[in-house]
Amino acid sequence: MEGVSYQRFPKIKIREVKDDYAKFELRETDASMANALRRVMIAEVPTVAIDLVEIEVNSSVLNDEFIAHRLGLIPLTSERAMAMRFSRDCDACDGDGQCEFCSVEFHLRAKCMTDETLDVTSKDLISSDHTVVPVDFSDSSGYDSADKKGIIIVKLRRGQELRLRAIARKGIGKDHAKWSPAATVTFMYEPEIHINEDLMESLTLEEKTSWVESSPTKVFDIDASSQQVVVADAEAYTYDDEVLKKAEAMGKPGLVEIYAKEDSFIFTVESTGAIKASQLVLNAIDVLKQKLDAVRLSEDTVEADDQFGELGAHMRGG
Amino acid sequence: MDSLLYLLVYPQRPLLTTRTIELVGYDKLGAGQNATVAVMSYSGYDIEDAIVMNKSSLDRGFGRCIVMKKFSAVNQRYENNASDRIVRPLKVGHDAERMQILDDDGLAAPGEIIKPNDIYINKESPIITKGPLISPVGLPDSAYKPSRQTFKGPEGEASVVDRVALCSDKNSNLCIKFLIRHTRRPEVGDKFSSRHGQKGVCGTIIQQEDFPFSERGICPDLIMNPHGFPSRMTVGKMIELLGGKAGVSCGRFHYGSAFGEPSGHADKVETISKTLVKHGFSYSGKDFIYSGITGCPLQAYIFMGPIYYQKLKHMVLDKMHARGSGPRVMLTRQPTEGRARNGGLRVGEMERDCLIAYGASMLIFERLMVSSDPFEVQVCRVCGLLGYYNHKLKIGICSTCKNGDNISTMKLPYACKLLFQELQAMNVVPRLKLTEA
Amino acid sequence: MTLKTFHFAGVASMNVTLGVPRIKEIINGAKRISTPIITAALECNNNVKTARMVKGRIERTTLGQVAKSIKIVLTSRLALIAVALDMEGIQASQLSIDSNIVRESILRNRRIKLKQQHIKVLDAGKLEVHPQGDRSTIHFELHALKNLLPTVVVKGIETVERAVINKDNKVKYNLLVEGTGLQTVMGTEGVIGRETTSNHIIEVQQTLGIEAARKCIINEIQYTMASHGMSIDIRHMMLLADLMTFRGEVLGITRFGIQKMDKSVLMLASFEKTADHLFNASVSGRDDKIEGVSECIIMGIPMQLGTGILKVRQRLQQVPELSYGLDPIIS
Repeated sequence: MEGVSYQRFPKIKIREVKDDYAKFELRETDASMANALRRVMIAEVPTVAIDLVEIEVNSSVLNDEFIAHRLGLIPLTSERAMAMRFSRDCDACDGDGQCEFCSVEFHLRAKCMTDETLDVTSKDLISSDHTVVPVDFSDSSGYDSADKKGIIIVKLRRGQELRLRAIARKGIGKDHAKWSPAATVTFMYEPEIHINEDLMESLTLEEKTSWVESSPTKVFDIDASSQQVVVADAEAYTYDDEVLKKAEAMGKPGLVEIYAKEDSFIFTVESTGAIKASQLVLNAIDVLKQKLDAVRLSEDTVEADDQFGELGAHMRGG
Repeated sequence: MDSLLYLLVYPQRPLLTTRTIELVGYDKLGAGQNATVAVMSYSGYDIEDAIVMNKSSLDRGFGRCIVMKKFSAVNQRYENNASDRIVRPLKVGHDAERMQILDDDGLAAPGEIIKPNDIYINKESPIITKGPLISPVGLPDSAYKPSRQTFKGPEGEASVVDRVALCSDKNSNLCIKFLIRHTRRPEVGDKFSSRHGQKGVCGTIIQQEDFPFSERGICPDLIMNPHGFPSRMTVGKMIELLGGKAGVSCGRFHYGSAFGEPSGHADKVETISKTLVKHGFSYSGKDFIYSGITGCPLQAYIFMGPIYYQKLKHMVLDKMHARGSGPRVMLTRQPTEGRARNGGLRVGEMERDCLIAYGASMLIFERLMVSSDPFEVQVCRVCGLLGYYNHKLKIGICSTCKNGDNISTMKLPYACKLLFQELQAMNVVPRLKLTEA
Repeated sequence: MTLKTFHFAGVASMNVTLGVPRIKEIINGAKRISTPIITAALECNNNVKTARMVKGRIERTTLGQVAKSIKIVLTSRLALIAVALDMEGIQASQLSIDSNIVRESILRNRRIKLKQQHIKVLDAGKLEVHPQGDRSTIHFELHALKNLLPTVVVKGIETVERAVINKDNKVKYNLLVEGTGLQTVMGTEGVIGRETTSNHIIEVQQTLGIEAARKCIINEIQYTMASHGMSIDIRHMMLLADLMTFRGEVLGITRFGIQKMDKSVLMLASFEKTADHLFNASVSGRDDKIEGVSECIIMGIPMQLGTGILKVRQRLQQVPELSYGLDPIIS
């Protein structure tokens, strides 16, 4: 048993990458690895979000803590977040977390002078650091720019005013959902579909068509030229057993065999805009490495080698 | 100004309504929120109708409510024309830190955060209230004693003064009303209900990454235990879930009424199922879900979709109550009753009967005597009546025999001693005959 | 348990009180209950005709049911009431009634104050009743008699409302008699007295004694609970029945019953009618030994049941050391 390493080398193949959306395949690894990656992406990748709000004047219809809550949920571009320190660990300031190393300051001043309703949006938040600003959701093509004005914080009437000062700090999603950079992170098991050709031959064209249509998603299709049932989109299969039930109802169980491959996952990552989706995945892997280092490098492991024997052997290249 | 007001922070209109609801206008009220509910057993904290909630949903504002309470005070005018007055707060002195939120006029300013034991009105009342009429302005400072109003709220909660109103009542006395608001986030113990009588208390709050997720990335806000369905037979809830899911997918509000299908006032379940199938979901509303903890798919399909959930006003913060020892009623010297008076819980007659049935005699003795109102009395062995204890001479003396020769000490409940004395007042004499212990 | 009255299983026309009202009647020891029923076992229990004969003997037949007509006859010289009996009907229902029996029953009736000479038997089917009184009151008397005569019970037991033949378990016949009068029913010919029971507890106590009443309480509660599908261990009912009958008569659990059961002033005062009990006790100079549970709780001492049965009697100065088992290996 010594020296045998169960280490696997996972492979990633990227299918699609946009600013806030990434889809990739993760192969040759366990479900636990995929899940760990997902959990870290949701909960432990740090971002920057508004944490402390000082309100000077608020005569709007929403009360103070309501506006503070909404400000906290506004996503801020957090490229700097991995490099920043947590406010509680910062030695530069006196611990109240307002120095430049660990926090970013924002101002908001809005007063409605006209008879029209004034929308106070996230674009009105002025930052002290130009790398950390509220995320801009408008299309870069400038299409219909009147629509994309940012997230509405509050609407003001004539005479109502809102003046506040906000401090944004680094945090992780585990503390509060405002620091979570991921909108949705999900993975699915890649399905493996085997069509039993012999049994399929014994079906007529109508039966084949009805069987193909019994699947709620378009997994199968009938090839026009050869009148055969082919797999159109394996990943559209949502693991409902409709096709299997229909095959049994037609009296031909075993017509198709579908099972999920246990080590092949298709990830879909959508971020809130705080971090680019691709950067999110890389940050997640970094954070995961940091956590494992914390375990490996703690003083106990060197002595308790029988406890962490395999891990130690891994790291030492055994 | 209302004395108690509950507001929901982010109200939503229901996804599934009926024509009657729209006629009445109930869907415009915003009584709850459409929560994504998964019907499954999870974590064991959802037994007996409890609900498991998603911490990230709560962070994002699900189920938050604002509670507004009214506190008022009157500047009373007494018979001798003297009246209360409100003075400027002190900046120094031993009470100064409790007066931090007061403005220069002695009243708390709107927008200030008020904590329990903070003073919100710095009021003073005149000491002499009866007697000859005096002019109200000419009194010196020493003629007033402070009668400040302190805020009695739940410990550790930061409430905010929302609004201060000055008005006058029918005797033209100045009346001051404070509206104090408190934003409450749902916690373990708060009560929620769907529209089908499926009420339940929040059992536990779990992180979003531990929650099960579907392939599209949908994570439920609430997990409900399926044991609530068989005996209650609330089919309407299942139809609401299907209709809500179909409505979200196709963008049209559906009608969930049981009547009116032919005339288009309701949607048939088959039609809704077809809509679901068209958008890629299963016709039964069940989804294929992965566990958030292990990443493996769950072995059964889970019924998941949006249901309109309402937050009810029974919140644990208003109900939790504990008492070690505390104030007592003056007449019988027993603990007071009620949460507002920091009271104890009553062991009533039926509870006493249960304890008797168990034969737990020392437990009854402890609950009804030792923890309630024990009282030490001096009993005279000769006449059987109660005497008193002279602290200077350090002996007990019987009032009837006028000497302390035959006094024994024993413990009685104070209520019993009260009973004996009341009977004695009616000329019925209960005499105690003591034997050796 | 709901407040429902059920139909007696098998017999369509009988109603028995069940449920909470019935339990209330049993526990309160009510002297008058709403549906007293006597279950009579028949000597010859496989024949409907004999059953009908016994039923006829028991069931109350009034003069109004057997008489063809009761008429006032007023002539210038006489004033009387003529009673004509319906002989065919009497034969059909196998009753053996004739004018003499009717005469005896009229005389026995306490409400009609007539003497022997006022009733004349004409023949087996006809009677004449002459009321007493002088000319001024005779009209009133005639009409009063005319109203009272149909209610005279000529056959059967007065306290019995009706009797129904019941086929219990589809095998044997028995008779369900609605009403009281257990002793008379037991003595009727054709009825096995030893196997006849009633569901009226006070009646059973008067007829059969206190132990029988105790068993009757247990049976009645069990029957009521069983008809709702609930089964209770018999010991609870035995405890209740013993408590109700230990004084020698059936005492209900009301303030009257408890007053007769118990001697302790404080306990009675804490139950109901506090002032009355205390004043009466003080007038008669009563002593109260603090023995029961309520008194112990009032006086603040541990009650003498359960764990309080023991008291520490003796404290040893030196506790002797007892050694059990083997000696320890390492000392």
